[in-house]
Amino acid sequence: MEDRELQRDAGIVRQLDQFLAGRLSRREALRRLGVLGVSLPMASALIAACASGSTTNNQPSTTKTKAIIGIIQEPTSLDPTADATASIATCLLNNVYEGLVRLDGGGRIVGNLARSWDVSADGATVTFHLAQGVKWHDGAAFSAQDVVYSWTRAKDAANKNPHADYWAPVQSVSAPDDHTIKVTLSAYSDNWLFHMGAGSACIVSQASAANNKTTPVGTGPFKFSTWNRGSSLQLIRNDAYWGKKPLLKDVEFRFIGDANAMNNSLTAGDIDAIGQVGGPEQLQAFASNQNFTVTKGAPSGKVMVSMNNKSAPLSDKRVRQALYAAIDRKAWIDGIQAGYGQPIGSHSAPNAGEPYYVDETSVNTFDVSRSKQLLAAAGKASGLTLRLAQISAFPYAVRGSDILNSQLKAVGVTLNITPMEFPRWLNTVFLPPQDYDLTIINHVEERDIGNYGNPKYYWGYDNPTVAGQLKQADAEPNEGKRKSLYGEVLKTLADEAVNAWVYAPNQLAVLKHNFHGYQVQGISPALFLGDAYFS
Amino acid sequence: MTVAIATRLVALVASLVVASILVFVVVNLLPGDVATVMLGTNATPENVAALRHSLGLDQPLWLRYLQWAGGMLHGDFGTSVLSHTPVGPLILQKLTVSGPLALLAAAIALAVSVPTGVVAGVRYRRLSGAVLSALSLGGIAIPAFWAGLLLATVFAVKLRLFPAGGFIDWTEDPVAAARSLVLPAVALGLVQAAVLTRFIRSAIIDVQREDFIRTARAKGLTRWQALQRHGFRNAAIPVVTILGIQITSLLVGAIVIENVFVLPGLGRLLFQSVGNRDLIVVQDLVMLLTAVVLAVNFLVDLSYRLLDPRIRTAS
Repeated sequence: MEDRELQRDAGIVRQLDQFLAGRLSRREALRRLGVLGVSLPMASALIAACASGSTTNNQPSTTKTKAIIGIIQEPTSLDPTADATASIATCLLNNVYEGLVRLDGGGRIVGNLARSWDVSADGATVTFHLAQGVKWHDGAAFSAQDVVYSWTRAKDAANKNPHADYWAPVQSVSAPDDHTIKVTLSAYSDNWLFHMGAGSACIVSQASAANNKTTPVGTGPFKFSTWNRGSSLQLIRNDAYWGKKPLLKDVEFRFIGDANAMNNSLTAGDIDAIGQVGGPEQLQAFASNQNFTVTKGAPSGKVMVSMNNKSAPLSDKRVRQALYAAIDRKAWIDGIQAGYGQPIGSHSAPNAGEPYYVDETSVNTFDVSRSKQLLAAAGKASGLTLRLAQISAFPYAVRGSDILNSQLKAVGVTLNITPMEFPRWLNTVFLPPQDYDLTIINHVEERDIGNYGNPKYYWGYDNPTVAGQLKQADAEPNEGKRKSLYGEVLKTLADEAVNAWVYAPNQLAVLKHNFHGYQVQGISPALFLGDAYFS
Repeated sequence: MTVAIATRLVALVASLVVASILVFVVVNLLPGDVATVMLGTNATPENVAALRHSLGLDQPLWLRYLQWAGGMLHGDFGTSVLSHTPVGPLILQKLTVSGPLALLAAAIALAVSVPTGVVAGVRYRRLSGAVLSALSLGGIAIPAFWAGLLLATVFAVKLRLFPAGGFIDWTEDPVAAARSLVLPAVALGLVQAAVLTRFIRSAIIDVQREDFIRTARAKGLTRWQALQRHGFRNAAIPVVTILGIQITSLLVGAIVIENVFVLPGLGRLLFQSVGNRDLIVVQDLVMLLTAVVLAVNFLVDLSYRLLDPRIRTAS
């Protein structure tokens, strides 16, 4: 029954699409919707709504084929296998470089250079069937040997892949023939395939890998053209692309660090899209303007107050719970994200990238009197002073510090805020000496819950039971069992208030109204433009 | 005269050497390094140490200084650790943005401040002088970035006369490149003009109180004639000093304006490189700016000799 309804809905959507694309007249669309059981007034309303929502015609423009996307952060290099900076993948992953798989807008794993794959019964052997007729941008033919080269190179610590740990479960990578890759894992790993969609897992050519930092060569729908440091990165269409040819001929990423300058650039028509939104509160101007579309991606990332579980007073669970109870998540989401975010209560965000998500927001609710009681029970009734390491380059961290400061003041906790640059944060908070009490950060990497199994990780959480459950969950091929194992971990983390998880922000983009097929950044940092076009 | 100039030159070279040591030490004292930036939140103490080793960051400080300073003497400014691009050509490319921007801003500053400063100085007891003086005070109070935002809103967003930001390379489209420098240069130039106006005004007021001006007036010259013949040249000395300082600050101080207008200049490169701990780029840039400051000071010193015969004969 449900299936049939779904089919009918899909049929309606298809007819409306046809109408929008200009392939159907209004009359014909009305008739076809009638066949699908939609009443005449309803059908007219649907068609009218669609026609006003789009600009009567959604067909790709043949004259405007260059898209200029404003992004905040400039890549530090052009090689995602050498540097963890997210903006490298933002510009290049899936556009220039391709992996065997990629993550779609919702965070699901879909095939890329691998058109399909089989997993053995025990889950330990994965066989990929590669696309045919693939060529590198330098003209050389792509083969399975390139995959063997790329992944062997990535796994070898000597090559300094920032995510060499992704290949830890891999025992061997081999190419039985030119279009097949066989990977043997030490045991099934649920996260491994997911990670193969990341920038650090993209396939590079042995002939050009050494120069990828400045002149990237990939197999993707766009080729690298020029990189004007401090200004822009230009890509051009790869006319020899093996897959669906992109509709855009030219793509330019323009690096605009200042939120005002970004908005001005879009309003003045210098750019076609704001790919990364620095200040969501400024979106109101665009949301009410017909010339622009504000696009919202799935909530992804975990904005949280990380706590140093290793050192007093935060080694006391009651103190952590007290701090968490003083946090009103709504004030954060409204104050930082202008409402574009979803409250979270454990280390997971509600999207398909983290299929084990469970809503744990009811464990640590906003409750000032409970917070005070917990502090009193921990012997801190007379007040408490904590240090907050603030990453000054991240607007959410700066605003979050102000909000946290005022919320904690209400329960008698004083914050000493130390602003610092990201490199200093990495070297003092994240890496030893790990000298801090609290810090605010958005953990953007998906499926990073495994870090709670590492007692050396900067929040210093040491719980062998959780570590065991995490290992077991990753190696569990049965989806239901896996989910329940992860669910137990998420529950324990929330119960122990290891950190105070606040919200998962929606990734946002502002587009010119005639810019379509744009995949909002989110679960994957990549801004894939292979489907984008102007009408 | 030649001896005096030679002494100044030796001092210039010595200053450069001292500056290079200071720059290197201070830059390398910054907490955090490029290895952690490259590894991001996937860094572990072990992989950071390994990457530091392969980048040569674990070598002793003095050795790295010698490599850097020695390279510069050969015209080799090193290679960016992050992007693998040679730094020398990179800086040259940025200079094609920052250089014209600074010069254009300085020209605007001079064109505005010299007439207003002189008029405000000569008429400092009259209403017109007071109005100009008040305007220049207002100008000093306005930060360049705010002026930039205002200009962008009016001339780029509303009137669409100039681009709101970004830069198209000279080789691609020289007219577009020049157009994108207009608003930032005006924003920088006007604020500098305000500062310069104040100095020119007080220099003119001071010089009018000098004995030689009184004597000239007593001979029967008008106020203007006296100023033209004897006043301006004397008033120029403090003004040239300030101008020297301003030109260097235009080159560096454009950081904020470059961010407002998204210009790929030296300021933005410096800002990004500090954030990424791409220290070789930072060292080279700070060194370049130091050299410019020292060179400008040297030229200002020389100009004193041209302007004031008393300094010439004293040496």
